[in-house]
Amino acid sequence: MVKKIAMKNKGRRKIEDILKRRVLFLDGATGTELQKKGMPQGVCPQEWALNNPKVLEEIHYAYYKAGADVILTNTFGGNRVKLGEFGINDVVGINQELVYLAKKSVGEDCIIAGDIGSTGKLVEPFGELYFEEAVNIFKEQIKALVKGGVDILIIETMIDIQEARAALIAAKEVSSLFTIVTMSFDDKGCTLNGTDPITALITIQSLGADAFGCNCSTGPKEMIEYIKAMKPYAKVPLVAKPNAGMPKLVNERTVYDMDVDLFSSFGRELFYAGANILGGCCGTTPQHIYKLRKTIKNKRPVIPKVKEISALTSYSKTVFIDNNSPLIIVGEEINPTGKSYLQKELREGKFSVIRQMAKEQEDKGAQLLDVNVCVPGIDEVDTMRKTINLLCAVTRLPLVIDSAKVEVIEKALRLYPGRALINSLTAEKHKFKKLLSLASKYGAMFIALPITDKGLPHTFSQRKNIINRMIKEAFRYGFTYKDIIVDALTLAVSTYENAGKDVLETIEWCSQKLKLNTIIGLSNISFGLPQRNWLNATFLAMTQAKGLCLVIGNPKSLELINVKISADLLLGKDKDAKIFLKHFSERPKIKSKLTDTIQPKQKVSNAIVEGDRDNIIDLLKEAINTGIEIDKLMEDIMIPAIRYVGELFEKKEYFLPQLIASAQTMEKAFEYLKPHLEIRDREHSKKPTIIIATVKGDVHDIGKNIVALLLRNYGFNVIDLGKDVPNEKIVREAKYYKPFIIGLSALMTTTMVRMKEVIELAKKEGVNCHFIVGGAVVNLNYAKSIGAFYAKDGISAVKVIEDLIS
Amino acid sequence: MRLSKEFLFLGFIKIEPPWERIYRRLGYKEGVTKIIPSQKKEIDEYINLSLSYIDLKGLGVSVPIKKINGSKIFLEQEGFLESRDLIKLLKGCDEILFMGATAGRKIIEVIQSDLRGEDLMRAVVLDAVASEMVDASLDCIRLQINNILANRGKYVINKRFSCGYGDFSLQNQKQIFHILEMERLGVNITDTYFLIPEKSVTALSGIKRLNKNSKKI
Repeated sequence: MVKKIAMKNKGRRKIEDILKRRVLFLDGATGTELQKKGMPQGVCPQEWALNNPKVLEEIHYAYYKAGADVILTNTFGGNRVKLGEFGINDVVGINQELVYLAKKSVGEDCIIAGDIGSTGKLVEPFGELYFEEAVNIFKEQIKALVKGGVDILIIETMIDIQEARAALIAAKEVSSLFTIVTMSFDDKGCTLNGTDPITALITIQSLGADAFGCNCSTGPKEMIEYIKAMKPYAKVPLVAKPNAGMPKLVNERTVYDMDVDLFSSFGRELFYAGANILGGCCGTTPQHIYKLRKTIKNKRPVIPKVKEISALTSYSKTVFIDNNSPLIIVGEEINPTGKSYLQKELREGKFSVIRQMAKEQEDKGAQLLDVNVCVPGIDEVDTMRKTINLLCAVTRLPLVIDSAKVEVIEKALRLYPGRALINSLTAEKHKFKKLLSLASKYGAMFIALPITDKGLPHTFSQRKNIINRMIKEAFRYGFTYKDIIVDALTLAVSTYENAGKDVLETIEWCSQKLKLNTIIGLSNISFGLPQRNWLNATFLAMTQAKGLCLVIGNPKSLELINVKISADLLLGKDKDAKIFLKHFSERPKIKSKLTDTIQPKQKVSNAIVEGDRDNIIDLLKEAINTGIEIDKLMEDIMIPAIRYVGELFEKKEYFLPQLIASAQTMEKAFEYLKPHLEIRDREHSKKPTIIIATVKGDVHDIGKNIVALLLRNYGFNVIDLGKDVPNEKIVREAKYYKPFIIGLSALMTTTMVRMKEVIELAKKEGVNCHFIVGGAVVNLNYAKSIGAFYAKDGISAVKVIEDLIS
Repeated sequence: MRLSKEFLFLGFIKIEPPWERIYRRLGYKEGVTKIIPSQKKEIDEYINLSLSYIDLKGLGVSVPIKKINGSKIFLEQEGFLESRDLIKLLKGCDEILFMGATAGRKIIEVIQSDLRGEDLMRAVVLDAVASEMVDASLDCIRLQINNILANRGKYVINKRFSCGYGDFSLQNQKQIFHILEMERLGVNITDTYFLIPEKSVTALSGIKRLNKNSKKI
């Protein structure tokens, strides 16, 4: 057993030994070398190499002779999904055989790395491959590689952070081998689904990768920037495996034309940028690796200097936490406690409220989102899984996993495609170690809440003791100060008179003495008291002055935001007052009193022209109070106003939303005036009836609704039959209402044929009226061909009909 | 040998709203349309709001072209497509990239609810955002597939084509729907070739080998 463990760790020992002295060299491309030596396009590289073992052995040996410390097995596509594309099922056999060939080629001196590539599918929540299925696919391959006798593992060319996580979790769950992870970033510096190198590094190194870096997709020049960007945050060695330039087609073959000198000169720059492990990807050859090694020789690389890092990530964003930066708001809204509407939604398996809460909190300035889905009687684990998947699509903010249940936290940490924060770990014996173990496995940060099995601490001194004990235990699991955020435990000042004072002392002690980051749940302080916003805001400013880093609160509270931003400025955390100035210069200005000098009837006109639906009724009342006759108000003010809007629209000085806003304002005014307007109603009845419908088979009705609204504005009696209306129904209604004209709408060529059918049927049934048609695919010629008038939009429909009447 | 078609499934697509395109779709004309700040604020709020209701998902499927004969393009294991205009677009290509995307059901529910609640202005803005976002997501799929193809010495051409363009009839929608397996996005197709939910689209483009003069796309 001892010998077996020693064997397993041979690779780790060797690598750690080399990295202390010099750069570790990986080999170069295998695929493009196999192609050069006769492998045809479109075949399975693993199967072909096993049928041509000498070719593969020669390639491995050439890299070994060129100076590579590590030879990668030819198992890049050796997972169940990739082999399955070629109808191959024997994952274990193929991987073991290829490990055997690699070992046979280079002997015991060389480190043999089991190479693990992508399945080619995106993993939940980004794609349709379930996360656990992905983990199992990688476990199957990794077990075979380990059984075959590889010394280390290399997970490479990952374009999806979640697939990289799945592969790394699989590696960690089946072996203790040194594991390198490299991802492919495009020339804009992102992976396929938008993960930047720093975010990827923090996520993957937290999850336990022994080295992280980039390979493929770009040549060495772009990679220099990625390595430079990652270096300040790297706790692990950085890897660069660039292509030999970008691919080109020569004589029907794909070639990479960066020569060995140029490649190695970039290699030197990668080294100076901070790469500790170098190798080559597509298009590189043993000569590239030989020259690379020769260029760098035995230069000692910059070892990772970062020992601890306080940062949380989503799949595409990193939030750094430190005492010198502005206070971070953790949005508290996604929590069903006391929110019956959210409880109802979660019970029904719906998530639209959560979606809106996430978006609103992000818009209002939250930088992290607390997520709690605890509702009695629901499957909290499954609900948390679904919520995380949803939130990944809705927001880029990192999540704070908030649950009292260990199994919920475990599921969330496993699935979450970033580095999460756990809210929270208490010092309760039965849970604390379990959660520490989980946080350690998944690389999460956690909030330490100083509560024990005996309950709440009532004095500052008790808090200090509990916090000290929690930190000591966390260190045993490998955590550092920067992985821990202390909750200063805010109690209600209505119940505990020292509640505020204890929190302030705790924050000061944590930030000054221990250099620990702190957090509070703000609203607890004011529980049971009136005017809570004032108390909360005042308390927030005081805690910020003591060094608070994060607050769990409602970013939609204006008091909270205003105080936070002001205090950040006063504490020197808002350089050049940029945030303060931006925030407060955007506050709404006090309405000018000039508007009071405008005549009330003019205000009605302005409201219609400006689409002011909110104030139109008040303005109408004001105008009526001046004694103006309602009929006159309509004829002289409102109708000209809406006609003017139509003119503006025709001149393109107004665009569609403005036209509709005005039309809706007009409609609202009509509705209000109806009871006052008997005479006007009689006038209305003189205007003819119009039937309007979207034809059978067509589900688009926005355009038709706009036309109907405008026609009503102009006083027509509009009968709107809706969308997807059968021909027979249109004709039946026409026989009943005897309209002046029938308006038909269609969006597609497949449905516009219904227009002709309706007209023919109407004529056959003796309906004597005009027809007008419109819609995306309809034009004047088509309209003429079926005996109808044509309108390109709502305003032109009004004109055509008014012309017909006159 | 490799199976005939390769998939890229994007469970969600995160893109910034194409503001200019949304405004243009709504009829905004630079330098001509005059908009007061309160109206602009309202429209921008609706655009931002719509983002929380839009669930962009997409699919890309590459299928090798077996041969082109007359007006027919024969595909590996996927039958044939017929269109001379499409053949022109695919000149020099050896694969067709089929793309499908949807903005999901939620945004349609909200638009319908706005229509029922008579908030036509908001419905119109949300409708335009959904249309432009789903269209932009096709560009996103194309770009991401280009990133993958770059290492195989291939790229997706810039132009794309959809059913109903030129002589490529709308009836092809059904075949493309099946090639893409659009059900995986939660999309259905009606007898009249409408994709449901409404803001769902398909398109196709060509895949070429890089030549000496090609720049990376």
